[in-house]
Amino acid sequence: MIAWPTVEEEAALTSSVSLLRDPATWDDAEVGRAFGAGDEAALAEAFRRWSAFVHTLALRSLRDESDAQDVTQQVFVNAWRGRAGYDPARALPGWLTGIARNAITDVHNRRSRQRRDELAAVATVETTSEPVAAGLAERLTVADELSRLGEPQRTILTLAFYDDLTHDQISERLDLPLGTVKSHIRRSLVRLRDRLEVEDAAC
Amino acid sequence: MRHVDPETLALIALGEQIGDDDERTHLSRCPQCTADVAALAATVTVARSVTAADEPAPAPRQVWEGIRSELGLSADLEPDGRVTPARTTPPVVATRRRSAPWIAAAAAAGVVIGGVGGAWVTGNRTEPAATVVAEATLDPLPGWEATGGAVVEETEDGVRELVVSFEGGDDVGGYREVWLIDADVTRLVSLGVLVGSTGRFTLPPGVDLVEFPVVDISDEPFDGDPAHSGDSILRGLLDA
Repeated sequence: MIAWPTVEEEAALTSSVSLLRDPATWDDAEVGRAFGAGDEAALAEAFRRWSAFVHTLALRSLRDESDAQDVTQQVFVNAWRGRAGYDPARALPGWLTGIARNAITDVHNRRSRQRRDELAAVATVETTSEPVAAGLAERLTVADELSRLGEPQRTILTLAFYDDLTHDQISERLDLPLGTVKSHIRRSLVRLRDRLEVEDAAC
Repeated sequence: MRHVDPETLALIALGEQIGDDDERTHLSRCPQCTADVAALAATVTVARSVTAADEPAPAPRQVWEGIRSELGLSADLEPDGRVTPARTTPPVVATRRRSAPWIAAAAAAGVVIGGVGGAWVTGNRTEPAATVVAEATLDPLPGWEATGGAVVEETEDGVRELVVSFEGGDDVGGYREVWLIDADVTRLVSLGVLVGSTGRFTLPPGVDLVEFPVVDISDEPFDGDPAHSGDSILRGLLDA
């Protein structure tokens, strides 16, 4: 009996056949696999999903819109060109975050070199500021993932986080069964936790 | 001892005062439940520190345009979550330019006139004008170094032919066979044997290219088994 299709072939075909299904319907892992396989649709989809996060991270860290846009462009260009080094078993947003941190650090270094050149008389200019402030990437990650949650999950978590409502108060407020609220809370929290853990791993 | 219900642990991580005595006793002694609450509570802490300023600010459109232009990607490739068939076109053109100039010229014109400068043309007979109705880049499968392209031409009288180009893959063990495969990779139509770097295959009139969109070139051993060997060299998706 012939081996058909082999696992390898199926994997290779996934990226082609994925063209038949709108990238918007792919889960994050599928985007990662197709990205690694060199499917341009996956690059576009990765940009659609995570460019706001990368752009915001760069903007908040560099406080300059033009630099933030340059960094965002560089992150996706570098990621695409370096996709051979991407392990599809890892989450793509975490990998992109790592590339973004490097690109942001480069801009900070360039700036401090410029500053040093401008202050040529000063022997050393110590730069003690962190390229990406502690906690910033984590906060942006959660904000980004929250914005991605569907409804009613987003409203439920917003009420739990920021209005300090208990699950029975939320259930009453939204007129949803208790069990539904509890299960949405658990699943959405786990989703946020997973994305955060990925960010940690990327540091 | 039974673990605490995961949904209850999530609520505890949010700071809710719930759970009966048994559950609280278990939680105080169970490393697994404690670790779960701790990880979720850390997430809650980060989430509660989020301010309005942390809202994602979308990258302006010109950033995508910059990426597309720096990487030389098709202008049709849009981050809109949809499939745009046109985006398979540029790599096809690129492949053709490398491997088979005669197809590139044909595609540029949008039309292939049978008989225009190709070794694959038989005899001197005048063939009806053909239109390219689908095309595909053929990409190598793991372990193969080959490139190729495929176009489907349709003549005025409705006859469709698959024209494939093939470059590399010198270490073929047997012979090369050309197939159309359905999207689920469960059904195959054999089109014939490919000899040399180009080949032309008449499609059976009943074959629907939407149903069988995958072009596959396989390495077939001389084992007398007419089925696909499972060893594909190149594959691509027709954008019909």
